[in-house]
Amino acid sequence: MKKQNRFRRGFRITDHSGDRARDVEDEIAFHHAMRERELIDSGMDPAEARRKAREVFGDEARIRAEVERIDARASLRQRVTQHASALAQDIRLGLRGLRRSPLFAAVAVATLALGIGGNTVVFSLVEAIVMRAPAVESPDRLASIWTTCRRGDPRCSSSHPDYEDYRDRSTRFSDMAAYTGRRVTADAGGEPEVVGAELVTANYFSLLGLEPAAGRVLQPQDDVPDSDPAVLVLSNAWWKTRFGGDRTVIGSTLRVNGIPYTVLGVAPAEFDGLVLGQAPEFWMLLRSLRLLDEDRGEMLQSRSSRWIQGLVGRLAAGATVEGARAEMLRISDQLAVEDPDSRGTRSITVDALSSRVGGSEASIFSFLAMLQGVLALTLLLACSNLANLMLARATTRRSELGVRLALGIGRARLVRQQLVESLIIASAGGVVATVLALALLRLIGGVALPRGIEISATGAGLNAGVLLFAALTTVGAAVLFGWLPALIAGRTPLGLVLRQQRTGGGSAAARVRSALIGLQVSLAVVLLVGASLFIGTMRNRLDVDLGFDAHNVALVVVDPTLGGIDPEAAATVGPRILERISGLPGVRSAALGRSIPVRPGGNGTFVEVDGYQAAPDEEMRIEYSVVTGDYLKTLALPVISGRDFEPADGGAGEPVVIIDETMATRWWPDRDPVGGTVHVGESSFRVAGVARRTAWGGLDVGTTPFMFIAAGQGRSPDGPYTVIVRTDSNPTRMLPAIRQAIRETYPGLAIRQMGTMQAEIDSLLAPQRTAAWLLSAFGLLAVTLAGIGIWGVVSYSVARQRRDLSIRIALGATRTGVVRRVARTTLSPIAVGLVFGLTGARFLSSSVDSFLFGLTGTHPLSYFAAGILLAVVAVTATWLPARRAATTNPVEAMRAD
Amino acid sequence: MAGSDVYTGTLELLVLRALREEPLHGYGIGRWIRETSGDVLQIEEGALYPALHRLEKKGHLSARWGQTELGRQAKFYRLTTRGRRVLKQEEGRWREHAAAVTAILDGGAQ
Repeated sequence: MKKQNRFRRGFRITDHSGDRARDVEDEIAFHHAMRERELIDSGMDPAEARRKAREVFGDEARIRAEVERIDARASLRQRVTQHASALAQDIRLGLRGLRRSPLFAAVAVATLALGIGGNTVVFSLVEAIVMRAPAVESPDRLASIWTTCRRGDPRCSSSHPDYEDYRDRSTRFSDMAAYTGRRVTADAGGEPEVVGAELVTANYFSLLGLEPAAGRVLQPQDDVPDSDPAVLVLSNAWWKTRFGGDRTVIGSTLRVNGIPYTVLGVAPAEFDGLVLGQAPEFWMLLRSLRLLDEDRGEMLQSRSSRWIQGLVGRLAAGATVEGARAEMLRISDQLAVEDPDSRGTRSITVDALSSRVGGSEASIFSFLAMLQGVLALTLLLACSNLANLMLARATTRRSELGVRLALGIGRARLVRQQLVESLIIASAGGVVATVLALALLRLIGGVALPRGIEISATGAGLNAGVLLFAALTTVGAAVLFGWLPALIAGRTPLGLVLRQQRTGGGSAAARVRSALIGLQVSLAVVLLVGASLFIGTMRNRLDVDLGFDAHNVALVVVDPTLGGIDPEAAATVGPRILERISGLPGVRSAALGRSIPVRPGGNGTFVEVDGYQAAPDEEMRIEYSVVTGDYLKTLALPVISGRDFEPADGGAGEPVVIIDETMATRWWPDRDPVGGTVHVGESSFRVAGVARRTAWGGLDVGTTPFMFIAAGQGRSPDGPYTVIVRTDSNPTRMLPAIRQAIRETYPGLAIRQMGTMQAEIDSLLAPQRTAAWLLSAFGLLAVTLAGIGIWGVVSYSVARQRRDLSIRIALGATRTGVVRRVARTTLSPIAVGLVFGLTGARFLSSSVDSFLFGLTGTHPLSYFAAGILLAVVAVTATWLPARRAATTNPVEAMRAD
Repeated sequence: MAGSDVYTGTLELLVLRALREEPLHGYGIGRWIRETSGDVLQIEEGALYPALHRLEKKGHLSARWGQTELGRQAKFYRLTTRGRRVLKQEEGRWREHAAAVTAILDGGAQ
């Protein structure tokens, strides 16, 4: 017993926590023994010495407890250092292992960086668009209130009387404000600029709890009828960029659409409006609308004029969104009874104001969900590929692992080492991914999401939340691709490894690798099907006949009511500009119009048609544009019956219009519309001709009845209008000359926008193009990864069976036989993966249907193409290494062993 | 004065000093202090052990079980390099302190 103790103690350092109490006891016992002997030696009797020794020692129990406490603290610290040093060792081992296979490390880090980086970018968009609440006081107590459209969209604009009724009748909202966006021209000295303004009710800032950064913001008293309506509040961003943060601008005058407005103050820096992608340069009063646009004075009184973009309410104390919703539905029912003509079947929608995406959120949300889904699939695929590579590596490193096992390293430690290696790879991937994500975000800042929101306008960036997401994704990826190989490495049978067995064993690894191949194939198929659906959509969109010729058309938006042009002279601005532009070399024809096809923002009105009885709930709403005579000719939009405008049409004769095919078939179903009569309010128009249907406010052809009214006839394109110029060649090159011509004719005229029709169409296709591009890129990456995975598995299986195969060849096995034998390992997982992938794609396709055009998510050719492409890649990746096995020289193979 | 209290810091200094020449076990350290001070400094002997373990924890001492000259198992303490450095510092500080106190006392006597 004593001997054994001595042996143990000889090796003992003081950290053996189990014996800690014992250790202290022994130490003190020794002290007592020595002290007793000393006392006895000096002549004390043994019993007395024993007592005395304990007396001079002091309170033994207390001292022992104190010493044990000190030791316990010490050993905790030692335990931590011990773990840290073990971890450091694992990291060193992992790094050494990776240095030994730099190709593997590079491939692994690169695929992970792509996967994690892509996911991070999309998540930063999700964070900025979906998860970030507007910077206002307790946004969780705010709700958006919408009036439904007759077409069934639950979130449409409201009229001013609607707003007043909602606000005054509601008890669940303590207050409610209205806002609506508008493009206006601002002139603070120098050239007039076109900027975004938001017209709001005076309680807007107080309801949102916003304090001014300088001066003051709008306050409820500003709606008192006697107060000056010509006041505005600058946005912080515009104050800084346009006025350099100069405080003297407060109290000064800013001309908005030529009307002098007083600058009251500056909004707080964090607040840029409630609508994403619509950050206004300043806010002004809703009731100052009259100043800007006098002929729309009835807009504040008319219930059928639904021009207020959004309503926001603050919930009263104790009220919930559900309660407010129920109350709003009751109010809606009351209004339907009181004012059946203009309310009709309209209802009210109430949403919690959780993000800055207003109105119909579906398109942008599902677009983001789709992107995130694609990238998650890609990352999953990258992980399964890495798992496969790790497995292959683990198998070739079996002897190394075996040696370590034989040296007594624990299996748990072995698993941990493998996981640490995975974490090292993943962390490197995560770091590169973050850099990549930063670069990508900068690169795609100009890319438009659905609803025309540019990515840079969303404020997406790598903030703490996004970085946390990247970190979690990194760790998740490490676990995904690391834990299976680690577990299998941990289960490595010792004897097998040391005997260097080549043919048998590793069956668990082989099964896992087959399953991984199946998984990769199916993920790649899903991505490929998606890619081909979006490529098909792009092709269909580009092929679609818009009815007019979009090539060689330049567009310039001008506003002659601004920029100090005398209102009397404004009417002559258009004709003079047209005359000047038409004379430019390279210009075929030019025209003006309030609206142009494709671009959003037409004028709507209600009409009556002689000889047509509207159905009880039918809205005879059309969109129209006041145009000059050469409008249809310039767009090359054909007149299919009747005649085009003639120079006399703008004169004093009978007012005429040209209607489009959609309007003609809707309200003249079996009559000739030419010669018919259309009433708009007090005015009546004779239909002179029918134009080919085209797309308005988007790319969908023939959805809106449309009417062209010739300029003159009591209506002139007096507000902002578009100058349409058909050119002989590249219209972009003509833009400077056109601008120059306008500048020379009217130096102060505000030019809002210059571009081409083709660019207009391209920008509308941006989301689909983004999706097609992304899915194709990631689909190809997926196919490549799957190909590499299959190739790796077959090569490995060939290497393992080399001896066996060469014996077979030597014994006269046919090449086909050898190929078949080798290929067997991958063909069935490939087949299973294909089936699962195609089924999965079919299952997921309904989620992208709304982004597709001219085909649906079940488009058979897309599935066929994806399946074939993948099958070809997979079979090639199998066949190449298998053929090499079959052509092996048997003698060499045997000798090599 | 039969004995005087020894403060914790001072005790640690004495322990370090006791170990300067050679490793000792706890009893040996106590005895060395007692005899070197000519029995002036009376330590509660048990108080040595918390001090020893604290110093070990701080890394000023290292400890290991070994055999005494008489063949008994005892836990021996040895100064580490760090302990040696600390001893030098603390010794200097003590001397300064003592000199200052002495100077004050001398000044007061004149």
